[in-house]
Amino acid sequence: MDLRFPEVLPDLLPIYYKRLFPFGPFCRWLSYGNLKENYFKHREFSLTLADDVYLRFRSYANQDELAAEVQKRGPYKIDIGAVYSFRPKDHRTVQVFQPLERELVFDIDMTDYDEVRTCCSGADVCTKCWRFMTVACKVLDTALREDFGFEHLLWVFSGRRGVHCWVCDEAARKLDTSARAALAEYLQLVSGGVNQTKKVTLPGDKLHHSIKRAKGFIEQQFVTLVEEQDILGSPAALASVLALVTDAELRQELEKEAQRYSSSRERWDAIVRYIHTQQERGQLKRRQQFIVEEIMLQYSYPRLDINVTKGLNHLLKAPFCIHPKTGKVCMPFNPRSAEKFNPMTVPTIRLITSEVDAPNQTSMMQLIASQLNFTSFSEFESQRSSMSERVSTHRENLENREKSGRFKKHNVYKRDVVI
Amino acid sequence: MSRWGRHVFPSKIATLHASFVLAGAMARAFVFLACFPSLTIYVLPGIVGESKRCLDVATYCVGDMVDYAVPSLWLCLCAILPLTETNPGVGCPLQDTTGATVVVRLLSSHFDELVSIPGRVAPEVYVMELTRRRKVAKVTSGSLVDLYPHDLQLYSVPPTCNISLAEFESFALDRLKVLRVIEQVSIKEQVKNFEDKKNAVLAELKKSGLKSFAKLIMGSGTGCSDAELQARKQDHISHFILRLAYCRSDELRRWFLSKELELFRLRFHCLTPEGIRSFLHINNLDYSPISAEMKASLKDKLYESTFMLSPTQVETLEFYRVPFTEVSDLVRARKIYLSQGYAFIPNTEFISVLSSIFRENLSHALSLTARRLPDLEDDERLFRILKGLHHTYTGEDYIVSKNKAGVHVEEIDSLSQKSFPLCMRHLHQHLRANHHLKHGGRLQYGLFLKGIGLSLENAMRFWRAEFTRMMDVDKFEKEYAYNIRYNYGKEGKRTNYTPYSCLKIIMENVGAGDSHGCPFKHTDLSTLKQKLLGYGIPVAGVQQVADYVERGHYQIACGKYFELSHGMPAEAGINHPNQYFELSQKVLSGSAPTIKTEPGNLLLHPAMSFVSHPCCNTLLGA
Ligand code: SF4
Ligand SMILES: [Zn+2]
Repeated sequence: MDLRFPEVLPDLLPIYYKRLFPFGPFCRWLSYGNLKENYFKHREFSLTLADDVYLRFRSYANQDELAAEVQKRGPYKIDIGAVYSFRPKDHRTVQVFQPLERELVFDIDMTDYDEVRTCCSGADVCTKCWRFMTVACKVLDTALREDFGFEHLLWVFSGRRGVHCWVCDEAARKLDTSARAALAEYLQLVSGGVNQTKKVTLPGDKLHHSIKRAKGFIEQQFVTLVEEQDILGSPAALASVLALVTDAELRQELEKEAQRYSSSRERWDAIVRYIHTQQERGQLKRRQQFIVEEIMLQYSYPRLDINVTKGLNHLLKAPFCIHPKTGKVCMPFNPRSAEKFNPMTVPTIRLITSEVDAPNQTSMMQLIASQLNFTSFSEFESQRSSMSERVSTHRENLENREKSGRFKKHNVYKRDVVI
Repeated sequence: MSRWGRHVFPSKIATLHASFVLAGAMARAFVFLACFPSLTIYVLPGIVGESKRCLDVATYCVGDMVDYAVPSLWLCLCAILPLTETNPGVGCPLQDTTGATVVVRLLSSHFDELVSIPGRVAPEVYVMELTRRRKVAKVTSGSLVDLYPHDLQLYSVPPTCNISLAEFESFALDRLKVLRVIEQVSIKEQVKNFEDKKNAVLAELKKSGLKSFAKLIMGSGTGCSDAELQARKQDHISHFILRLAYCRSDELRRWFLSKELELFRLRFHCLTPEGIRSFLHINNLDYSPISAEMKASLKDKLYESTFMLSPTQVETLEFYRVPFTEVSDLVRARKIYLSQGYAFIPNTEFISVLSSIFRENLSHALSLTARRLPDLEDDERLFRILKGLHHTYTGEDYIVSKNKAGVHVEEIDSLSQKSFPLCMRHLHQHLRANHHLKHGGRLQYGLFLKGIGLSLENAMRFWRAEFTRMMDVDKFEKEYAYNIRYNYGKEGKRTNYTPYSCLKIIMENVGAGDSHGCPFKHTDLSTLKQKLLGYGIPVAGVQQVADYVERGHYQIACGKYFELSHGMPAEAGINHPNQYFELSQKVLSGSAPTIKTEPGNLLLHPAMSFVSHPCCNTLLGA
């Protein structure tokens, strides 16, 4: 991380906004095929300028207006809000000013994993803890697609330590707050504050299909997580895993089992083995039957900040912003290959602005490209900078969206009801 | 009062009546004031938004007789007010007339809808006598059987009947009592299932003299005796009156919505299968189940994802496919199979669909009503009845602290130990220890502090002092100061936010890393017990608290904790952290009402030697 980023930003941001920021696709996305005339015009943007000057309720008639203001002010951050009943910039002059629609958004922040990760804490991330993010992406992405039928999901790296997901389907944009809350809570399995140790409790005697599916994804990664994070290595770590076992007898047994080994991996295997044999013998108590699942889920099920998801008028940082602390671009990425995404190598504003004037610097670009798993080099080289590729993933998303917008104009749920 | 100074001349009535009918047919908005020999005031279906225009019409009709310089529809209503017992009124032309007939049409906010519902525009007129005694409305025409075919209603159409002001008030109070009963039962009683709950509610209702409502709950659903019809009518009207009273703030709306919903669910549960069928039919809710083939292909999924479902039930129950948005509560709790945005629910969970329809309608209606409020607030007297309602029965909202002297930053530490409920005490400790609170915690704690009388300046000082031990002043001013001013209504929507009630805190979502919420719910039992012991609660007492917690009675547990730490029970139960605080302050300052246990052994400092005091046992035994 380049520590001088805050200082160089004022010099680099103007170049970035003038020459690189993809205003075209950005505005096309937010216009949604212009099916509704005022959709873009009634959208709230907010700009954060140097010294934390904060401009809320900005709105623009079109791409040119937006680009003009952004280029003029060079904001450190652009946030996207809801589509309102009226032009946000005139919100003081109208009586009924209400948020009507917005994308369904999710925010996953690495700091929420502090109690389960050991490699870093706070604002830091490394490739080890990024694994939590990749699991989260997979679980969330599939749930949104399969359970809720959403198709247009835009995943964005937030520039430092988290990811955002924008669900852009019409049906999603139209959800009211109570539906958003229900959906968010459906996906929030890990709940409870600092005073609750056990944050996942699976009720009943069966696993809900969404949990079963999540378990499938998690199992693939869990052993690696156990090793990388050394989840059972130290006495303290072991104790905090065992604290999740509510049955005192079982906990003691498990502790005994685990103590026979020293590495995290062996200990985990021992625990699982013990529980499975107990289960086969039918000696596991009823409330404990999902204990393995509960532990795995507590460690790696997506930890959502659901307040962001619940609110209709919550602001969320726009894709393609530059993170002011790291200088990294908030890049869209493909959730299906999330594990190949490396937050450490996301290009910074310094890099991409330097590329602007040196189109021959392919070696550097290739390096980034390979790390970001760019597939087509020929296409890549025809682009001006390492960002364009991302823009085109974004563009594909857009096109899908526009198409489906036209074909399914009333893409809201129909009920099987005779009324 | 000059407004009422002029009198009506009966001779003009005939002409008036004619113009009344004429104008009624022509204008789309119809507020009329017409004065009849018996001094009838008619307020016909009107659109509040258009009341100005309507009143022009009205003034045109009666302007030369009564000095109606009325700014809104609701002022028309105040003409009736002087007749109620509570407000003898002066100088009203109606005042000395016995048997004045008052017809108030339309109490609801749904004026537009009403006008657009065919067959409802020019409905029969009920006339009833308004005297100083309360009387039951007499139906002069129209059929209650048609209007109220079923015990249970979705309240989608506002009432079009007439009601006296006295009834207005008594209906409102009765319904409020019903909702309070519902609330009390869920806070206090040991209810495990609907059956328990139903019985508890019924018993309470009978105790409070609300027999007709109890009958309504017990009824067959579709009877049509006169008593039943009247009860339904009262149910209908009173619901709409409370909408007026409860639409005025988020907190009130939330309370009303959740209680009405609970009441609805309870009543639905009490219906017979036949009652259910006819209810669905009457309300056009004829959902059809999924086909046998579909069910067969989804069998496994339905089994594994439907909560508490046995394999045989998959075969026997009918399943319905509905948009997930219609069964939010089932989705939230992951109790059903969900695919492509549709939820598959067994017919046993059908109430869920209805609840969400009910909730959605009501919350929409409440926000519409709220928008009409300015029209209503022009009339101070009616406004006062409505506004006071909630507080009469459910206590304060604690927006403005009663503590005139205010609270000083320096006092907070000691107050937190003496008088804060656990939820706030924990937040305080967390803040002191970590010099930081997450957003949810700042809101919950910040609003509470406001409620106990911490001024904005002091609040700034308090938070700044704590936060800046972790960050520089600059960062605090930029990122957190806004938040604090926001709590005090100085930023954002500029609403003066209400401190959170227990209900809200308990229902609140507490995420990883959050420290807010209600400790009785959101803390591990073992940790909670440790803390309580640490605060000097005796072992037996801790166990009692823990028992309540285990059964999910968090507020009762909190009340028990209050009792154990203050040496006297919180009579009314605990329903608000600020109420807890005020009660505690009262007890500690000795101004509390009489004490239940032996005199002379109370008013000890909480968490002090009380533990070993002889009266302990009496108390704990209680
Ligand atoms: S019951 Fe209410 S006052 Fe008591 S701790 Fe919980 S939220 Fe606070
Ligand atoms: Zn790490």
